[in-house]
Amino acid sequence: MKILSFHYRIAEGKILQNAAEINLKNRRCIGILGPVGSGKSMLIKLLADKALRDAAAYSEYPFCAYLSQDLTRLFTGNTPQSILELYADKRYTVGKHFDRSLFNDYARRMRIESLIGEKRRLASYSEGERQRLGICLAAAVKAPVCILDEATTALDTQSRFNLFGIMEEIRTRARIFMISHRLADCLYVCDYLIHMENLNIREHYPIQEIVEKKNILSYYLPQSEDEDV
Amino acid sequence: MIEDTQKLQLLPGKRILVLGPSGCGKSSLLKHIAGFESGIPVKAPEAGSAALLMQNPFYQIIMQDVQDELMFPQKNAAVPAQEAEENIAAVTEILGIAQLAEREIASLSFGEVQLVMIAATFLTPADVYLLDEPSSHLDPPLISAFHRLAQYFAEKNKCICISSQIADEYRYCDEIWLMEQGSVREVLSREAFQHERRKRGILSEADLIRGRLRELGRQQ
Repeated sequence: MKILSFHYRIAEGKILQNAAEINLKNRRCIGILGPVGSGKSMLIKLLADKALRDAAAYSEYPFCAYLSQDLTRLFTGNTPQSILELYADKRYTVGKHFDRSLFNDYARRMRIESLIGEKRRLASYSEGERQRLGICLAAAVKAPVCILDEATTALDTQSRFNLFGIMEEIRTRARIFMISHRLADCLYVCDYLIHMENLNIREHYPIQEIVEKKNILSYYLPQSEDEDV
Repeated sequence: MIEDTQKLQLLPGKRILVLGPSGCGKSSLLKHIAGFESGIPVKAPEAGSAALLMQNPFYQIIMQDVQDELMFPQKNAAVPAQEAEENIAAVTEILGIAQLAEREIASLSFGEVQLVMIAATFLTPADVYLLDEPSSHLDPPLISAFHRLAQYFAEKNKCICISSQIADEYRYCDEIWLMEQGSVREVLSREAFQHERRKRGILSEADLIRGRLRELGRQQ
């Protein structure tokens, strides 16, 4: 799979672009880094959203499992039961690829098992609970590409490590694209990083090279007062 | 329920960090202080007039454009137009979002929406500002900018109470309230928390990043 060079006009004066081809062969988990508003979500929407297919940003365009950054729309009006029925509906593409027993396993590992049987509307769940449910739903969709857009914003450290464990498993069957503004997420699970800036792909490199990227490290790791405690 | 309510005080000029795992009741506590939620078994401290930013900033958007969204809470409180404009200028400059003023909210990224709604919250005249995980979609330089804004309002004798999953933010706050299973178990000063946190196994983002960088360095 390759990210091709492309120009994509988002709005007046806003063009998302990539100058050179990026070969992702043998890369299983690709992290996308960059400041707020740099075009990270837009880049992976080109992969996930059928309506954006004409941008031709990728060499292949497989079916994706997609966890959106904004869970509001996914969950409005639903209960855990109703959303599970929707995901399991074989009439839809997602239903054909959704593995319920895998979901149950992930729900147990993300510690939301007890919530699944409840009749409450999802609007009354905490953000963290909803995010964990969203992760389990996306992770249990067996697709060649799995996209996680800011999947850890409402997770505590324990839940993040549980997610990392699940991602280790997903990467054996799917290529993962992950956006996170928490650098630690990328450091733990990614093997390749793409760095975005001002709607451009600036840099891309294997994860091990990050130890030499002083500018990126100082961005994410401001001098802290208790560094040597 | 909250044990030892005597210690929970929202005093003018103080910055408080509510810290605890997912589902421990941070959001409920803030909503309860704001007077939004009743019937939950927490006894919240007395707050003066409060402004609350909920965890999902999309729930509270009212207007179409950023400028109107920032004007709205001030119009509601009958802040004179000139003063309202000056307030917007001050707040957006500290957050570094002055360039977003002309944009439509629908065109912003999630992180940008969070910044705009942080600004709108602080532009609501109040004594106590309650912000539920305001930094969840921000990267480290923007988290610092957010805390510069919080400090600006603390210096105006406002009380700022935020929740977070990120322990690193303790260094910007005067008091840390540690929550567990629906109650505040302990109140620590910044110094006490800094001293205690590793003993209690509370990891910061910086700890996670440095630990992993060492491993990656060895692999190279």
